[in-house]
Amino acid sequence: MPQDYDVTRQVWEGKVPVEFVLAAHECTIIDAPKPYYAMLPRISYFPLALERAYKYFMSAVDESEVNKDDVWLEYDGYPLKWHYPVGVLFDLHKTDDVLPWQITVHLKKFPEDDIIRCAGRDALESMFMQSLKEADQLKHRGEIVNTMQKRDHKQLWNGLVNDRFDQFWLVNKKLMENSGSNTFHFVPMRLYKTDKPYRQVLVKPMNEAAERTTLAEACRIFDPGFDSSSSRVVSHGVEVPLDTPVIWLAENLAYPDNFVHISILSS
Amino acid sequence: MSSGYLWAVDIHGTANRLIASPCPAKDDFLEWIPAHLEGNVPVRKLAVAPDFVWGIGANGRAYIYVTYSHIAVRVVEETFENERWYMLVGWSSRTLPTDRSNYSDRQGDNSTPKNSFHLPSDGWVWQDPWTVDLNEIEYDKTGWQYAFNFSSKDFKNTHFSGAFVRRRRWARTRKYVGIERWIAVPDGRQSDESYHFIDISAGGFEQASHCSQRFACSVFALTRAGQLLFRDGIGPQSPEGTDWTLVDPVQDKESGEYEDLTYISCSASSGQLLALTWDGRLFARLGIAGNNRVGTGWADLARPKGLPVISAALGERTVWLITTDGKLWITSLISPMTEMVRCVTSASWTEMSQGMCRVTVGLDDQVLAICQSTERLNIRMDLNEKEPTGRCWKEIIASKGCSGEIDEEAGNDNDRWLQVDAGGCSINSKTIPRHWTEPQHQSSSFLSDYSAFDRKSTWRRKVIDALTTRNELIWNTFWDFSRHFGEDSAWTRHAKAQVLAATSSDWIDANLELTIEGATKGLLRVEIAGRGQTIELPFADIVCAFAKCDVHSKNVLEVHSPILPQSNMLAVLKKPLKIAFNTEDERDSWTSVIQATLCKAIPVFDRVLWAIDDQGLIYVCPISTHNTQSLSQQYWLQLRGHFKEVSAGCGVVWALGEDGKAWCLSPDYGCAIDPMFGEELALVQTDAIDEVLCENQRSSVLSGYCTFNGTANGKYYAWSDDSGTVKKANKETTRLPSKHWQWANDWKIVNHDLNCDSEGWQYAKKFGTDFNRKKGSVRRRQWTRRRVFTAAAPWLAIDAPKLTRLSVQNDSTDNSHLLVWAVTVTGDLLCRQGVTSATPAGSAWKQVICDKRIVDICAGPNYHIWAVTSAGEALLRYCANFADITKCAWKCIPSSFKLKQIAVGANVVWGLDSKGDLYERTAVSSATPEGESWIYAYSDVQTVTTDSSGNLYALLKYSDPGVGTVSGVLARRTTENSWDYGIAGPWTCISLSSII
Repeated sequence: MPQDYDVTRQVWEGKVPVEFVLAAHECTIIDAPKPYYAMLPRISYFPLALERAYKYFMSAVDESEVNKDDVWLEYDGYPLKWHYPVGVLFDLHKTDDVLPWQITVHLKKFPEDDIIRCAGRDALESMFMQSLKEADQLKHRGEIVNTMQKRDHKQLWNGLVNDRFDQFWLVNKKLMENSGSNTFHFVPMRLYKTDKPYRQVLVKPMNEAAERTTLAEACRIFDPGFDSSSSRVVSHGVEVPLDTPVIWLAENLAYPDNFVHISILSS
Repeated sequence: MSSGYLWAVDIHGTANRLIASPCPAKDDFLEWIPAHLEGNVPVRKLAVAPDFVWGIGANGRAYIYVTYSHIAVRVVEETFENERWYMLVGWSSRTLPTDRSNYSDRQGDNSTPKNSFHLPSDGWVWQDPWTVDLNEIEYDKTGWQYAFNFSSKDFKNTHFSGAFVRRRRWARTRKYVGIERWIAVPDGRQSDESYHFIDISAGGFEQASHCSQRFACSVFALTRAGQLLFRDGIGPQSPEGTDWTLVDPVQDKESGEYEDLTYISCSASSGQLLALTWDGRLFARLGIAGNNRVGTGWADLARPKGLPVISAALGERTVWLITTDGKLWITSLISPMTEMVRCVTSASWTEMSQGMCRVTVGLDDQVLAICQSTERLNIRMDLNEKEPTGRCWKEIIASKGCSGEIDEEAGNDNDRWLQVDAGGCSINSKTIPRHWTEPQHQSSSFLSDYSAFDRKSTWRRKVIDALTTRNELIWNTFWDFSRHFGEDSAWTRHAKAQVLAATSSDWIDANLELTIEGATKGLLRVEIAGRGQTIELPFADIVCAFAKCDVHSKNVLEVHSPILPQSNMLAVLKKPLKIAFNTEDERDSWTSVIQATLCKAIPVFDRVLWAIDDQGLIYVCPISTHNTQSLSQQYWLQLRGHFKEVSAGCGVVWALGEDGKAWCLSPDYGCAIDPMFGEELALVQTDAIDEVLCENQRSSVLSGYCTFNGTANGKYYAWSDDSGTVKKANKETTRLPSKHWQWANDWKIVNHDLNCDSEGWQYAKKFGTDFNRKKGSVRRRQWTRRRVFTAAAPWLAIDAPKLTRLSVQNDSTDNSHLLVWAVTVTGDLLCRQGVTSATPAGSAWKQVICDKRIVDICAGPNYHIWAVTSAGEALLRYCANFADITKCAWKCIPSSFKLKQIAVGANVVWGLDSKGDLYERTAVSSATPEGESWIYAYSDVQTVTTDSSGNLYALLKYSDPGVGTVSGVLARRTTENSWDYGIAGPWTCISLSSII
């Protein structure tokens, strides 16, 4: 099935206004800094934006005191996992409607037990590629991503980093190939609940009745006790109708890492 | 926006078209749409024009296919019934032998009984039976008008003694209904096989004399016998034309024998013609010009290496050929054709890559071709003035629509093509529609079992709606908080610039300093370099800051301030203050900062005055009727966009570009509140202008005709406007006014008429006399070049034919039914339905019939409409309610002067005549909307506008002995009936509107 341009474009355009506030009490302040504002793409990752925010705050603090690797983000008491897409973190943690999303930037006391450190942009890139390969493993037994050239991989990553929709989709459409011998075997999906690590199980595009698996069915595979009346199923900040076929989600509503990231929130 | 269609014939002989809009609407069909001939006759060849397509079938007959337009093609047929009065007998239909017959045309030259009128083709239907004209101004109650004899010029609408003849006018309307289908062109000779057509070509869509007319084109066809025919009579009222006329054949110079033609190509833009003989020789038609579409003779054109040519495509600047060895050749086209024939040698042709055949060149020299091996369509990419040959071929991959019709056996034949013609689409290298070549822009409804279902599913709709709302919501909050951010901080910026001196019109170096404190306060300091003189302008004293381009292409910021006269510096500086920045971006950033601060200071307002200046820039001035300040003290904002006309009413704003395209202000744009140029709406406005330059030369004994410095006879310039007295930059130094403009083509000579020589020169005895001679001591010619405007601006495009006037209804009795009226270039009247302040673009056009050609329109209260005809008469039409707008009749309102414009408010009607005198209509009320008579009010008026409560604003022209004539002066009528002047223009169009 071909790419649904209207949907993929809207997904790509999704942004979140973020107000980074420095946890000022943690270090010596030369000049009290104003918050740093940024409009972050939902499909992007925090470390990509953090570089600029970090530079901005560095002018306000005594640089000798802090170590770049110790920087971490916190919202409402939760340390934010840097390898989740921004949109997933927003859907998962943001419970009120107040915008911009106020995130505290900590320069010290890294919570080693809760989150792992991000070793920079390269680490993020390899994490992203790993995720992409895993998704293709599920869809095409890795046949497409493995036959791609290094250049194509780079184009996917650069398309994401530089916010180039066309550049990204030119390559991504190969990964979304779903016909003939390249039919999807499984749907790459990750389900999130607040307070828990995400879960990933095998979801087939077609159910036993040879109909397309719906989102409701997929949710029940993850959690047999899934109750549609008490939970909201959210991706990209919107509630996804439960009768949507998961195969369509995989083709059109996946994040750039080719996974469909779904948050199940209690309503 | 109508950008036309690309047409092609597939290998089954079916004509197909593909939408050519670079930004198609959501519901546009992005696949090929077939258009079958009756009885599925295969199409042999197409000739595509912007408004319609000519085709020839395998049966040798010609057909036309008229594409949809908002304007119907209607023709009123008339015949006059004549009677003579005889003593004792009374009125009798038997006229005297010397008289005209019982039924005749208006002049009486021809006998035209009712049964002599026939529909020209199957595309026409009669709309009504014959009816008598009962217009009371000309005829009596039974439709008769009387005179002493038939040759009388003065028929009266009542019987008088001494009236011996009478006549009445019978009229009947026929309408062209063969829209979006093929209609056979009637031809008496079709039974004779040698008259069967084998080739057809159309062009000349941009030829000067016919530009704005619908169906304006030259159509040439070749018969099996090798005769070349030209179609006569094609025009706005006759898409199929009237008759074929024979074009003089190509004659062999030595033997005198006629050459057998087998192929023709007419240039889409210029209408020039090439013909090929059966043995591959190439001939160019000479003498084709705006006033002579057929041309006057033939000349042999050199071929590449002397090879036989099998097909040719003629553009505006390039000619493409294919020779028998399958090679593609190109050379640039030299105008006029006689010059081309002289200059082009066999070595002038450049060889291109092999592999393409059946080339077509569309408007703006865009090229499409069919691949020789795969028979697929290809478009030449990156063709522009600098690279007339383009860079590469790209395949057109749009698929054939209509799933039901895809033939299983046909399978692979689906994208094989016989012919392609780009004459009907206006694209350039930058606007090639993405759905032609890019897979992700294809519509995909037929490619998979599920996708058609998915597209219609409610869950997809829900997801898209939710995503769209989500994105909009985020942007709104973003703008809110980015505005709050930093509001309390003060900051300063500096720039080096120049300011215009008052006396010598010299630019003086100056240092600028702009300080912004908080949201609304600021100070602009201008320090004249080296003199220590400084002007300080607090923002409270600035009413507007406009970004303009001055005649010397400087990036000017124009600052108007009512207090400037008292300023200590004014003796030195020009008023308004003109600041020239080094770069356009710097100027724009200063403008937007000052505008953003100004617009927060705007007081409450209840009226909005929209205005356009002589550069086509658009401005808005919020006005309060309770405010007693002078018009010159009102704040103004500049919006982005380029227009020639604007009309506003009830919060809805419509504007017209120079190119006749209609736009409306996006409802999402918060005018007068939003300081931005509306870029965040992601809308784009476009416009196009043909820049015209006059090149003047005079002859001297020594050097013949040559250009000159300074002025000739004290006031004529070497490079000037049409009048000769306004100096302009020459061809090489003419600059684009801003970064939003681009040249669309190269300079070319305008060939006006027969008075031009082959290089376009027109001669005169001396400057100031008419250039209508073959020889003279001075000469001039005109150059033209098209520039196009493209900018992010808060305007929505309206799908409409070319328009000349607009009027938005200005009273809001019922806001759910606002009407927008538009006059097309053809003088037809359209009414836009479904317009509300939330949906200013409306939904659909409805044509309102008027048998006269309309030049101006003004929507009055209660759905009353006033119009001005091309003859200068006023027409009024009142409708009891919204539903009747197309049904009621026009009433002619007599006047002793020739009207040019009309402006209507509640109980007030103003009529402006062509001499600039303004008249007011007396006794206008809701009971008698037509009033009683015209009384003279003001002179030297250029244009007027009034709102629903009758406030009058005008553009005036006055002659000042010291300064000369100043035009475009904005003024408002005060309660004492005198004029209160606004800030300096020159303005060209204004429109006053109440807001809701």
